[in-house]
Amino acid sequence: MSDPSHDQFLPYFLPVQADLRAFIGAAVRDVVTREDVFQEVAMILWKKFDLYDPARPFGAWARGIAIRKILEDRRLRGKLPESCTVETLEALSAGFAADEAEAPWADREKALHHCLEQLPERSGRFIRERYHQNHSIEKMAADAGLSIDALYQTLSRLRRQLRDCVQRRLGLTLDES
Amino acid sequence: MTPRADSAEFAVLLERWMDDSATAAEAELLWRCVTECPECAAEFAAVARFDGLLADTVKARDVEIEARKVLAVTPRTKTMVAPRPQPANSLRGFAIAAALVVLGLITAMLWPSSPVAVPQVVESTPKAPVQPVPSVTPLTPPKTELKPAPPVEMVAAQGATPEATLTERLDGFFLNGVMLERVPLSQALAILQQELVQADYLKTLPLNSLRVTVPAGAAGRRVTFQSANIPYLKAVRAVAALAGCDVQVEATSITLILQQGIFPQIAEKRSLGDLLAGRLTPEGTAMAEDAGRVADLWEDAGLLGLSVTDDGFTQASRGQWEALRQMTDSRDMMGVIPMPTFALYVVPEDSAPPEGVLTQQQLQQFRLDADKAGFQPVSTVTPDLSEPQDEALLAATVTGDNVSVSVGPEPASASVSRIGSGTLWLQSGTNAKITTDSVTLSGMFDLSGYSIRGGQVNFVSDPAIQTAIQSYITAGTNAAVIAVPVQSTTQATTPPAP
Repeated sequence: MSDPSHDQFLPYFLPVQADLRAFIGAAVRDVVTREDVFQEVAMILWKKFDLYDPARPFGAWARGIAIRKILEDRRLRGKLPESCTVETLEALSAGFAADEAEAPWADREKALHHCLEQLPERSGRFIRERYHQNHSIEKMAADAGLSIDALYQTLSRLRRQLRDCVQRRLGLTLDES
Repeated sequence: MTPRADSAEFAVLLERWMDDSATAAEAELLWRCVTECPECAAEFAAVARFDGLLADTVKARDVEIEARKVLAVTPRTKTMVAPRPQPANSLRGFAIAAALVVLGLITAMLWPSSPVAVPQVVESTPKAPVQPVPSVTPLTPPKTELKPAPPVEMVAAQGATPEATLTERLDGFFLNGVMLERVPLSQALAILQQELVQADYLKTLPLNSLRVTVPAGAAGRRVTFQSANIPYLKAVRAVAALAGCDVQVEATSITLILQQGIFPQIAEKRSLGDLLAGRLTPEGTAMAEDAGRVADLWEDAGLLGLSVTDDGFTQASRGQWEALRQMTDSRDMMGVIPMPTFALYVVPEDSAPPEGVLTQQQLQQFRLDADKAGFQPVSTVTPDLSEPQDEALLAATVTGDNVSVSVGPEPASASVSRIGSGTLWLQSGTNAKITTDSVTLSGMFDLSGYSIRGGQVNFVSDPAIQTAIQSYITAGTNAAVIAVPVQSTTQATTPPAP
């Protein structure tokens, strides 16, 4: 097997790596394990790049490899629900492809940047603590003086708010174009 | 029956799964929905993608905010270490200044003058045969009255070279091996700094003024790094590289800078021989042809988790390659560090200087007293730096400044003992025994500006030492073995080029 060069592999990998990480994250909720699995999948993609069929979307091929990795990984044995099977993950992969077709990742990212700037300070802090600093719900609730249920509801509301904001901005963008 | 994709029930299941608060039953139900209902799979995909997008975007925004803060700071200008205070117009001030000058002279003798020049390797002269102590009876202890130390001659410093900056000195402190397993970068650097504090056991570094800066985007990246003895700054460079960062060094600061490109880094095919190309052994031969040196490189590659083919190729990322380079440079430094030779005196306990590492004045005093009492060294020893995990036949352990030696079977592991110009106590009785095999002690050495922890002293118990020590043990008297650096006419003053 010949070694692929950066020039050949990266143009395929770079546009899908965020999506791939999110796909793995849908099944693997632990942040550390998720990163490990992602790195291992990236390595496999690199090594098996000569087996990739360019006629097929790279993202779908990458998610296929990730599915096998997730189900074979011994760290995840006993942690995934029994109903999480190859078929389930393939259905999820198809959902990813459909979502990507609706709006590319880069467009969503740009819209989300704008929506995050509109958030009030306290709401923005919740989002940062949860998604960047990976604080536990218990710690966040204790720091904010909220009950855990109240915090879950707050985060749920914030996510819906941001997602609606992104959809509106993408809708505006599409209308304007 | 599984809930519909647009139902509130499904939305709750999904939220709980993404928040890691779903019960086992809720998780099973959610994933069954995804299997049975394509609309559920599409909704799950949309939520999971958005969740990932949110995490990436929030992180990127925070990194950008941090970067803006850094760019808004006025760049630090290079400054030398703050000059010593000027002496006051008084005798006391003159005395203080004179003492500082003497200290500066001693420091100038011991510390490297330039971090770039290749050191002069101390040529080992053939050791003169050492005459054993002829008498087996305990030596007569000298009178306990000690003369005052000879006055220190005040000499004004002329043409003194500028003192090395803090960061220039950092590669003179070897850490006793590094073992980091999936540690976040910021924590890894904190661990290295703690080990530096321990390596600087004489407290010569102004570590309060050392600033180590980590970019927010890399602080959480996990690093795995294992090495043998390695200088502090090289360990920092290796760990930074493994986390996708370059290192910028100024007088009192070390700044990590995020590298361009993706992370995790992609591995590339590389030849290990490239790392040894152009390097020469102290004997002047090509390192790539030195079997021992090549074996060391293979071993270091193994420590980084790299598999090497028979023809010397490996798949290594940019960070792993840089870490391997730092480990290779460390071995080069170890190979040329001049090891001092110590003369070993065996004296009665009450003739011995205070326990612990002797100061220069105490050393001077011991030499004078030994000369006066007629003590002769019974042997000499040149330490041999080896891996800190090597087992010892006789274990030297330290409690405070006291060093005691006991027979195995539990060898000391990386314990600090004061050898070199220190005192080693051998307790009489059944817990001490000299064998004809080598006696190995782990120790910390201060060599011409280098402080190395974990090196080991291997000295063969020749009959002279055995005889001298055994005589004390037989008499039920404690003996002290004093190791005194042999004063050499040449001394390496500069560390090898990195």
